[in-house]
Parts: sequence; C-alpha cells; structure tokens
Amino acid sequence: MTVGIPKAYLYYRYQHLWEGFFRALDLEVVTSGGTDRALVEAGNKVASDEGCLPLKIYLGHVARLRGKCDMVFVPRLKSRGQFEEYCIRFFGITDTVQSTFPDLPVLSMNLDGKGRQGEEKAFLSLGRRLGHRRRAADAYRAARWTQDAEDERARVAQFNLMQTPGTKILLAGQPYLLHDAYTSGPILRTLHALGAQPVFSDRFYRKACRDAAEELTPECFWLINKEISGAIAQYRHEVDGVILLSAFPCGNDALTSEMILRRTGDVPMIKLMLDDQQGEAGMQTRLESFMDMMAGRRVANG
Amino acid sequence: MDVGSISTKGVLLDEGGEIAAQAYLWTEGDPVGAVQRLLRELTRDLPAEAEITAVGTTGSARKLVGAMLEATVVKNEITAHAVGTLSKCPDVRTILEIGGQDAKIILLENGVVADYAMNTLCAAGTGAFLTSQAKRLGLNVEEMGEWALRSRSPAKIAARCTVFAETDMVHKAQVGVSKEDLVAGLCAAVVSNYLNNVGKGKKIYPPVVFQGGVSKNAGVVAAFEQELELPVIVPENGHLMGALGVALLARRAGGGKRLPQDITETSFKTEVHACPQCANHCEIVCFYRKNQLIDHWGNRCERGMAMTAAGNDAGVKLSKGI
Repeated sequence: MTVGIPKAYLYYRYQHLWEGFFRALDLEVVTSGGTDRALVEAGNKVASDEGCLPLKIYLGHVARLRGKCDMVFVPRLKSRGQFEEYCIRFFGITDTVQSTFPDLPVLSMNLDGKGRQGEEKAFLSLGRRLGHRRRAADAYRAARWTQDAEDERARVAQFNLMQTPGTKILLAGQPYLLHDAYTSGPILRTLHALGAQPVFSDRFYRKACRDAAEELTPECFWLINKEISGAIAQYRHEVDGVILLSAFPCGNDALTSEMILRRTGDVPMIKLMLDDQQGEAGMQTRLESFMDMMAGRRVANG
Repeated sequence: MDVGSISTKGVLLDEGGEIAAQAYLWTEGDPVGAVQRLLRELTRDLPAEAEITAVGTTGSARKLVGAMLEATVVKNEITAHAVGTLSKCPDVRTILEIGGQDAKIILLENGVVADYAMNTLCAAGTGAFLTSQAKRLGLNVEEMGEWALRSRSPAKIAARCTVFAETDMVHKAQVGVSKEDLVAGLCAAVVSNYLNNVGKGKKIYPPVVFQGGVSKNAGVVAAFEQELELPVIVPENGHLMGALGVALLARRAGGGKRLPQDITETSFKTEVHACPQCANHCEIVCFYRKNQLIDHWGNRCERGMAMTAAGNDAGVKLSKGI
C-alpha cells in the first residue's frame, strides 16, 4: 500500500517522523515533489479565496497526489499541550481536504496531547487504524529517533555556520515558508547575491526558544509563533539583521510580528510579506535597502 | 535617473557636484522612451565638449534603465533618497515620501538610515489614488492643494482603504459637502492612512522632510503638520531627491563608462518570454538593444532560458539567476 504525503505545511517540520513511521510499517511513501507555479495555480482554483497562500499550496500538493497513492496522509494537528497550539488551519485541514476532494481517500491522525506522550498516543492510534497494533510503537520510536537526529544535524550545521565570518541574516517565519524553495527561493538567492548568509528561526533548540518566548509574552498560544519569536528574542544579537517572513493573510503572524517588532526591534529588522503575485521587484528593493541600512549602521557604530 | 511608475526624474551634476540641469516628465508606461526623452531635455543646453562620465539609476525601473545606460550605480530607492535628502538637509531625522504608487518612511540617526518601511501589498493613499479622486471631482491633481487649504471643516473620510475612501467621498458629496471640504478630507485621509500603515509604530523625530510627488500638494503638507504637531519641510526639489542621491552615489563611485553617444536614438525593446524549461514558467524579461539581448530578469533557477534576439525562437541558456 502507498501513502502519499503532501510536501507542504508541517512536512517541513515532521518529514522524517511521518515518512519513517510509514516506512517502518512496510508502507510505501510518495511525496508530491516541489512546489511550482502550475501547482500553486491548481491550489488557487480549489481553495476558498480567503485561504492563505500556504493553504493554496497545500491543496495544490494534495491535488498532485491524486492517482499516485492509495491514500493521502492529512494529519490534523491541534496542540501539543495546553498553551501550545498549532494554527487553526491545521485543526481543520483534514476536513478542508476531504470537502475539497470528496472522493479522495484520506488518512488522518489527530495530534492533540501533551508533549511526546501525546504524540506517541496519536501515532499508536494511527498504527491501529492501519492494522499494525503491535508494530506501531516501535515504528513511532524509530521514526522519532530519526527526526530528532535530523533536527540535531540541522542545528549543528547552522551553529557552525554562525561561527563563520560574514553577514548573517536571521530569516524568521513558518517552516513551510522558510524551506519551500518556491516561497523563499527568491529571497535566499537575493540574499546570497548581496553577500549575506541566511540562517533559519527553526534551527535552534526549540525548547529554549519557547522559554524565551514565555518571557516576551505569556499570552502567545501558538506553538510555532512562540518558537519564532523566541528564536528572535534569544539570537538577534548574534546576527546582523532579522527578516520576518510572513504569508498573506496569516493571522498568527500578523499578531505576533507586531509584538516582535515592538519588543525585540532593537536590531535591524524588516517584515516581508509574500503573496501569490509573481513580481519580485518590491522584494528586491526591500532586501537591497535592508543590506544598505545594515552596512550603514555598522560603519556608524564603528 | 529616478524612473518611477508614474514619473521619471533626472538631474545632471557638474564637476562640483551641483545640479547643472534637471528634468521631470511622465513615464507613461514606457520607461525606456521616457528616459530617452528626459536625456534629450537634460542635455539640450549642454556645451558640445561636455561629457557624461558616470550614470546612476534608481526607482522601480532602475534595472532596466541601468542596463540601457550602462550605469555605474544601480541603487534602491531607500538609499538613493536618503543620500539625496541628506545632501540638502544634513540633520534630517525623518523622511516621509509619497510617490505615484509607493509610500515610504526613512528614519535616520546621525546621517545613517536606522530604520525604514514601505507600503506592502497595496497602493492606497498614494499619488495614483489622489489623481483618480481629483478626476472624479473634476479637478487637476495639481490644484488639489489650493482647494484643500480653503476648507474650514474638512470632511471625515475613511482612510483605511481606497475603496472605502471613495465610497465615503461619493456619499459625502451627495449629501452636499463642499468640494473644498471633500478635498481637505481626502488629504487628511492620505495622511492618516500613511501614518497608520507605513509609519505604524515608528517614532517620528524632527526635522521632518516630506518629499515625492504628493509633497507638491499643500493640503497634504498641512494635514501632516497638524497630525504630527511638527513643522514639515518640503524641499524645493523634493521630487528630485532620488535622482540627486543616485547621481551623488555614481559620482562618488566614479570611473564609470561614458554615456553612449547615440543613446537617445538607439532602439531598445523588451519582450517577456515564459521560460519553457519547467512548470514554474518564470516570466523572463529580455531586454534588447538593436534587437540583441543585453540583459534579462525574472529567472528563478539555473535552467532558465531567454531568447537571444527579439522575435527569435532560438533561445540561450541563462547562466545567471535573478
């Protein structure tokens, strides 16, 4: 049996956990591949017009998996404990997908429990549904181990990168904006062309970021936005500047980025908004002037 | 050259760095043609032995025009405006700028850009909005300022969004509000829109300089002064600050190529090709001089392809991205 995984949303956070779990249960895994213009347009056609760009991208990826697998894995991600919730789009994503593609076989999972225990419970229940009552626990642990090891590898690589000389820019945002080459590619290329090295807000110790976020405000209940604001609070003085990357119209980002700008805006910081317009001119103007500003501030500060 | 969406501005600096000639005209959707017309105007009174030794370009068409003029410096608008304004007003702390389709704020500390912001996805409250509303009221956009200053009690007009502002204005007009009060209300709406969006959360210190095309509107200037409770300086050449700034940068960089002699007579052309190499179908803008490819934009990857000659089907693989 083949499980299709849309390469969008939190795939960029849980890739190894998801793929590893299914593979350990001897299921085949296919992903939807990279985001491209045609895929975004396909998603745009089926999504409600109030959906965010990443939701349109997600639905485009689901559409691309049709006919290529026996079922599409669309996990419902609710929370990992009190005060650590996911975006509400992830609460409803299973229903959104099912109502958008009524005849598509969807495999879901309900993640809504505290920490690792809550996660394990969700995977055991998923395993039971797949007919693997006994093997599910081992499959989860092996996949979790791989995910942790990969996360650690990415953190170490970024830590080493930050020790090298040169301009570093902290690119802060949801993982599906940072690591989808379609959304962040133009920004990364422009930064490299301008001689800056981007580092990512999701490649730090997440627990440390969440703790730092608690100090910034006790009132942010969104898990990933907590980690984003915490990463900025904790590491902003170790980079030359911060770019807040957000997709239109993201409610979570709209609220937290304002808080971030007010409370941690003592370093060069700009907010970049992505939408599905193709024009890159505005983005380049903003990045170029941002680099000029940082250079000017460096000279002024000696 | 400061080539914006609505207008094209140019200055010519002499050896001492002073403005020797200046020109200003509408871009009319044709930046290349506008630059050629502008160059003719700028160089008309130039002695025959004079030479243009370096060129700088800024504005939204800076790349296109930079390639055309083989510019020494191609610079973003924020830096260009900051440099230009600092040369005229060295202690400026805040630059408010409203142009045809963009609005920006630049905050400076000790002559260095410390922070800035630009309008994001929407052009509400910029020059284009004022022009369209002036037309609706049967006025020239240039005379809006005088009308606004004659108002005794400006109409309250929703400023959050152009669509609502327009609805609001039509409604107010139909209940009998005078044209003066409507225009003054529009100017106030532009200012509060600007301060709520572009200037959101920014601390505005004096001296404040207001520039860009909309700074020519005395009604908007008065609304800024009232809202900020600060004097607002409108430099005489406020619309030229971007051009002046990038000219100064080009002069500083020096060692540029001489401006090609026949530039105003040369034929330039752009064509947009959808790159056939992958599903992204990047729109690659190919820029041709006498039908030969001299530059291109819009390519997102290493597979990109552009057409070597205008109207030709034979492509060339691109080596550079962006």
